[in-house]
Amino acid sequence: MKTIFVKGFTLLVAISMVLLLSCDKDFEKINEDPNAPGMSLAAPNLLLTNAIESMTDRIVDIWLGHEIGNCWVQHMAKAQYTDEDRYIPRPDVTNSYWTYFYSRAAEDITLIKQVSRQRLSDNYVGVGLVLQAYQMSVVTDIWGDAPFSEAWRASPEDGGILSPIYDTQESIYRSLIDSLELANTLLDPTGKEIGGDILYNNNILAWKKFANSLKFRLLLRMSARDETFVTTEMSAMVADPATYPMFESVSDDAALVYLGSYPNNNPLNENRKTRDDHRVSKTLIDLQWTESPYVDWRVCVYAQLDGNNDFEGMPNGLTSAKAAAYNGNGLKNTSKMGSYFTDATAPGMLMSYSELQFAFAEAAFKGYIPGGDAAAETYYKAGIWASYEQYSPVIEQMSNDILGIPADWNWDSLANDFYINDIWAWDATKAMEQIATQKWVAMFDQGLQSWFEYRRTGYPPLIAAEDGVIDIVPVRLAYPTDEQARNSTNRQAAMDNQGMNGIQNDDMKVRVWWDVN
Amino acid sequence: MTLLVFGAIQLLQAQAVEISGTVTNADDGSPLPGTSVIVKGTTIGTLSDANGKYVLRVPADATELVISFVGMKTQDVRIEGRTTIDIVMQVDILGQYEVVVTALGVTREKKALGYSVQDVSGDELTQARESNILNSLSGRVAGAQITSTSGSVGASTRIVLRGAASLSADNQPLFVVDGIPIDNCNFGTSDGYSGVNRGSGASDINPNDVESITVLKGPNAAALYGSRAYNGVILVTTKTGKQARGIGVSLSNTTSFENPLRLPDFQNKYGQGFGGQFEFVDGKGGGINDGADESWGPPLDVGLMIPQWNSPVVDGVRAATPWISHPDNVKNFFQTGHNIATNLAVVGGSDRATFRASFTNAVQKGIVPNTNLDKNTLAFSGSVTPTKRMSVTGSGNYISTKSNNMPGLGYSGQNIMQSIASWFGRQVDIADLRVYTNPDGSKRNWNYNYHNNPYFTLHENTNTMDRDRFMGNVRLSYQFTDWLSAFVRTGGDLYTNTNTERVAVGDIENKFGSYFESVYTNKEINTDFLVTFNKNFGEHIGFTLNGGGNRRDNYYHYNSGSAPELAVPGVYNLSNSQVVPVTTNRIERKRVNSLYFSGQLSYNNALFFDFTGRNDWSSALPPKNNSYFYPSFTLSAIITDLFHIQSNIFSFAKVRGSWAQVGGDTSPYSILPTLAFGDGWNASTKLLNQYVPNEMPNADLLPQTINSIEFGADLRLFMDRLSIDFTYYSSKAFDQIIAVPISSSTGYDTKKINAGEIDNKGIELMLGITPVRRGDLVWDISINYSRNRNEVVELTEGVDRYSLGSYWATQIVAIPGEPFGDIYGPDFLRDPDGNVVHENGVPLQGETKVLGNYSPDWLAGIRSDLSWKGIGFGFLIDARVGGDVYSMTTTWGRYAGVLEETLIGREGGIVGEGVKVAEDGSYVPNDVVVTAEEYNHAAYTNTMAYGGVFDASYVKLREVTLGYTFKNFGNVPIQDVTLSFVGRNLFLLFANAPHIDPETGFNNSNAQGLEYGQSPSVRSLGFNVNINF
Repeated sequence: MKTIFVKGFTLLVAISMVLLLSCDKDFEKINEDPNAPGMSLAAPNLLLTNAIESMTDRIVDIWLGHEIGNCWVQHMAKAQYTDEDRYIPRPDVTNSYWTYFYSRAAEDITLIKQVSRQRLSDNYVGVGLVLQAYQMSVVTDIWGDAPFSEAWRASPEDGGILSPIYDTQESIYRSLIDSLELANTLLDPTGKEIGGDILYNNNILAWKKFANSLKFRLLLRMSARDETFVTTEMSAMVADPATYPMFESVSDDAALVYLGSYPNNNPLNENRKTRDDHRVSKTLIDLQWTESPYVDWRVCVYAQLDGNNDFEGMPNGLTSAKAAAYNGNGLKNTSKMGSYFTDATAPGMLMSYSELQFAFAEAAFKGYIPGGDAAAETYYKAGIWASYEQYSPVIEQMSNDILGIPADWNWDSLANDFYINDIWAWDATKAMEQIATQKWVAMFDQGLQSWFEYRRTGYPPLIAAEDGVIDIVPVRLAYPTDEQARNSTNRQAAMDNQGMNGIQNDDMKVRVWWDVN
Repeated sequence: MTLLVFGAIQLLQAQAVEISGTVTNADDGSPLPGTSVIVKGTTIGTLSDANGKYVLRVPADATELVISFVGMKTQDVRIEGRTTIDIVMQVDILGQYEVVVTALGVTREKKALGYSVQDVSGDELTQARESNILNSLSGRVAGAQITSTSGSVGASTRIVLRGAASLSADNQPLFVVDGIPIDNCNFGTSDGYSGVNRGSGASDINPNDVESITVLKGPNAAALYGSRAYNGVILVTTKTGKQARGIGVSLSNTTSFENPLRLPDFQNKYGQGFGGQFEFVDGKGGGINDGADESWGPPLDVGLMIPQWNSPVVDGVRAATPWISHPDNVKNFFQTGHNIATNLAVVGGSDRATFRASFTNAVQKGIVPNTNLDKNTLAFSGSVTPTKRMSVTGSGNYISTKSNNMPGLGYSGQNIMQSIASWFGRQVDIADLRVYTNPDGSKRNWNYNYHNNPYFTLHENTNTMDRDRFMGNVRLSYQFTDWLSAFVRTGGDLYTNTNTERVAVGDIENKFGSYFESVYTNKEINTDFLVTFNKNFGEHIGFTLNGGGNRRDNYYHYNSGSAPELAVPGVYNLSNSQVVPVTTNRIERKRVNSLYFSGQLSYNNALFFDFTGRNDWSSALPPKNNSYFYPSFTLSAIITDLFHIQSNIFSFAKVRGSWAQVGGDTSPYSILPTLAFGDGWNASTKLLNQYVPNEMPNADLLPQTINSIEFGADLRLFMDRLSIDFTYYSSKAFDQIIAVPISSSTGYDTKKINAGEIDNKGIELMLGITPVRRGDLVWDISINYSRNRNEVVELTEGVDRYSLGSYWATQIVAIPGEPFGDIYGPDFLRDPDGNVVHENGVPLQGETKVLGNYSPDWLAGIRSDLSWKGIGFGFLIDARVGGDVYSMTTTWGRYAGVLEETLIGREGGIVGEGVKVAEDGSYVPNDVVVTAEEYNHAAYTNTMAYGGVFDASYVKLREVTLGYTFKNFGNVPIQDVTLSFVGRNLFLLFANAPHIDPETGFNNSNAQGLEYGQSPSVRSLGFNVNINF
């Protein structure tokens, strides 16, 4: 009798144990993620699509490029909620963009480079190097010293570095020049094809041009610090266009042409669906229209007519109350940004042919490349023409009846009229002012790059925000508070190294390495 | 084999003596059916029948019977050779000998427990019925912090027992219904910026079907439930049929009416505009400040005539109309909500089987227009006893929940509170907005710049929910011998939830309209077994040992699609998209296998030693670390019994202590790196995106652990007229699996690691007082009080703060050395003496620092119940003292000039209290006059958090009930009718925070202490009828 109980008991326990444990051979497989590809399935073409979109979005979108870049360099101004325009960046914006630049596109680019090296796809590696250089230069131009040599090395195989040191801007710049040199070597139009390239449709020659044009931009930016090196490098580049192809026309522009709808529309388009906080800056409209001896017709591209059927800019850095009251009614009686820039398909400009021509002009004028003043003038003109040409599709659709645009115009004739009639015809005695100012006009809506160039050249001479919390146009962004919490020792060392005190607002006055102005 | 087993029973019974008798209730002499009569020290027993009669064959050597019935004092009766033993049961006023359900569904005498548990009867939950059962626990359970997040229909309620211990999990207890864990995830959640709060899993528990709720507060009571029980367990036991009682029918209805408990105090002296100027032309900046959604405009009710949004337009000219206030415009926007719940239950049984079937229909209409929630619950439970040794029980609940619209929340155009309660023209007559479309189809609104007409939002942009859920289990148990039994059980919680979100064409934020739909299925299946050995050794020693195992399988499958822009207005279908629809999909699986044991050794039924041990194998942990064991020990002694103390003053005294450990795992897929899919580049050929996720996985994760100790005492004095239950606990949670923020320059934002330690220490005190017990008049008071001290001891090296959530520039963080839940945001700039530094008359932004903490200092509830001859009157007051809330309603309401306090300085300006910097750099008192508009715009913004942090203490009159039970209906087949009037959340008796009910939250997450635009919490008044046939 007892045995029967014991047997029954044993059976029950045994059945339960069998149920529970025995058929669990695949226990470990349960934790294999069915939703996402493992690292072995990393596809450079899919990663590249994301990297280009993600990076371009961060460069052109609202909170950094528009509210900080464009407003601080006075292309745009805020008509309400004017904090950023008064040099009060939101801490979460600073945190977010640092994060975006480092851990979004950049980590993808790192992986592209890594897997493509293993798969011997040099063209992907080259493209990755160009994108990384672009993004890293933006980071260091915003913040100065920044993690680079130890960045993106968190995985155990790459060193498991969770608190990367901050490299000096100088060492970052020199590394970037080297990596763009390497990119130019690796990029080979006859090599293995790439895919997923939404910037240049897998055209390797175009990437080569972008690599070298970008290198020229960076060389110019660091030029005040090492003229000898810059001269050698630049001269070598212009002397050998076969080895160092650069942008040759506006069709080479590095611009991501956005698609019509979210999430692939231009970020400004997305912003304007719900917001109406921005107006074109008074500084720009005064220069092009209000105080200009002859109209710079690009004003019609950059700005819309206001409620009074006129172009009227919003002064930068007013309090919200003052902005609301400006010109009788700030929102109504000032010009919105031209619809070209807020269209869903507006291109996200990374670097233009026009900018390169102005860079050549400056390099020639300063003797970094041969040709002297004559070449400088040619390049300067080419820069203005390229800018008009860039906007030619819009210019040619302008209505000429209301503003007195001359008859029988086209973009070329308007550029010519502007050049001949206005005060901007080449004058070697004011070369730097002219080059830098026209570059500033041409680079409208490229807020970050324009801001960097303004900091480097000091042109155009901007008057700081009327109600700003500091009395100069900021020359950097303070480091993000997240880094204070997550990488405090290295952040503090970088601040000490650059003479920053960490006091709010003061850090916006400390110049980066290349900024010797 | 079966035959042989029965042979054995026959044999045993042949040697037995038959004892019979009647069990009656001492109160009224009525028979007590269903009373358990057991031979002491054995499992031989029976239940009394419908007439209270029992017949039991007892072994010849039996000496004592144990007679027990829930709610009555358990009695030990010596047999002394008698064959007829009638028993009179005494009502157990204070539940001293109460039986409670403990871990694994094991029923235990409360007095034998070495840890604190608290139970709430089903009656308490239905008398003043709340649609979310958790709200009914407010103020009733010591140590439970219950936060009803908002007053919108179906909104979630957060419950935390003994403070937060985890940085990553939501810190809510595990919910177990009839032994089977159920899901308490959010069905849809809002945050500070958007979303719809669709409640969480526990809100599907139907109060009408609940027999009792037992709260196992800490790891000590809950260790056997494993990882998920480190924050305690809420054990729900549903109602069942009773043996041998015939058929009983009950019908009940609760109808209550709701209105907002508290709305902000608005100013009614100035209307829309800026700088005292306003004139409406097009409502988007074309007139004078007519795009403004702030109230710094011209003074109201002083005879001004101004063209307004609803002024008549004659020949294209908008007439000027009287500029007058509408003080109740916001209040009148809300409607009287209602909550009607009807339950029909049938119970029955015979010697061999019992059943209960119940249907509940609950219809809820929100205070926000056009919002509702309907719930239908079908519950069935039954038991069959085919042989004396075998029983099969089962229960099942089918719950259907539907809403045609739940309000959008957060700082969003989809939240009507964003407009009417903060960004608003105070003069606007909301009643006139009811018609939101003009005859020509154009929109009709007070502002065309930023806001929808609130009626447009509520009628056109609807958010639906539709959920079908089944929870149930089947259990087979077998009694092998009188000392050995076992059961096998399987059960699950399965549901499919469909949410849709419509945005109509013409919406202010999406002019093309949009449609979003998500469907997800969640399943949790638990299969377990338990073998119980129960034997007495000699007269003094009792021994019980349980051994069992459990397999838990979780499966989650989510699909969503959205049509970002509609092609054809008014048709809400994923195919109706003029751009490429966006789809997502996710599947998650997890399994935890467990083996466990628990045991108890008792001496003289007065000294108890308990132990438990459990080993889990979790699929979510790395294979090398996926097995972990954790034990617990408890000791309790009933001093009065142990030392035979019998005194009228000192009737009962127990001391107890315990130590417990609970191990835990993490979410699936946290170990190996993977890629993720992005939105895709929808060019002519869609280019898929791949990217590296921002969280770094970790193949070396260890299980997390929490250790806890608990001491307590249970005293009954003055013949049980006063009872005191005191508990001290201390817990230490370490090796927590958290996604710790790392410098993004690593390429990742966070990394999963084992880190962090959080300590919780606290006391809980429950007092029961019976000031009056004279004849029919009984007055009971119960008081509970708890305080928890929480400290984040450490995070990990290099991490100074761990963010639990954020809102604008303010974060909710865990900082080492501080309690959990600091409110960390920008202060004003201050001089060395702490004065606010002004520039041009307005305060400047200063250091970002800790401005408050959301954890309360202490919680208390006091409940009074007075009963006299069928009349019952009760009330419950509930207090939360300490803790802070960051209120953006106050911040934006001040910025926008809609709140009462913005009247200060409207005429004559404001001189901000503080200092300014003099020319020589020294600080001198600020003397610059600025307008109220300038001052409020500078001092109360998203980047100036200091002015938005308030003490979140409150005292609420949580519940008042007045009821009467009618009996003796003669020939009518009605046993009794109870009629009661009930009120819930009647008054905010005390609050320091202005404008809002400080009991609020965006959702159930750890990011508590944040407020903006939640639908106001509700006050409800109603009645309850309960008829038993």
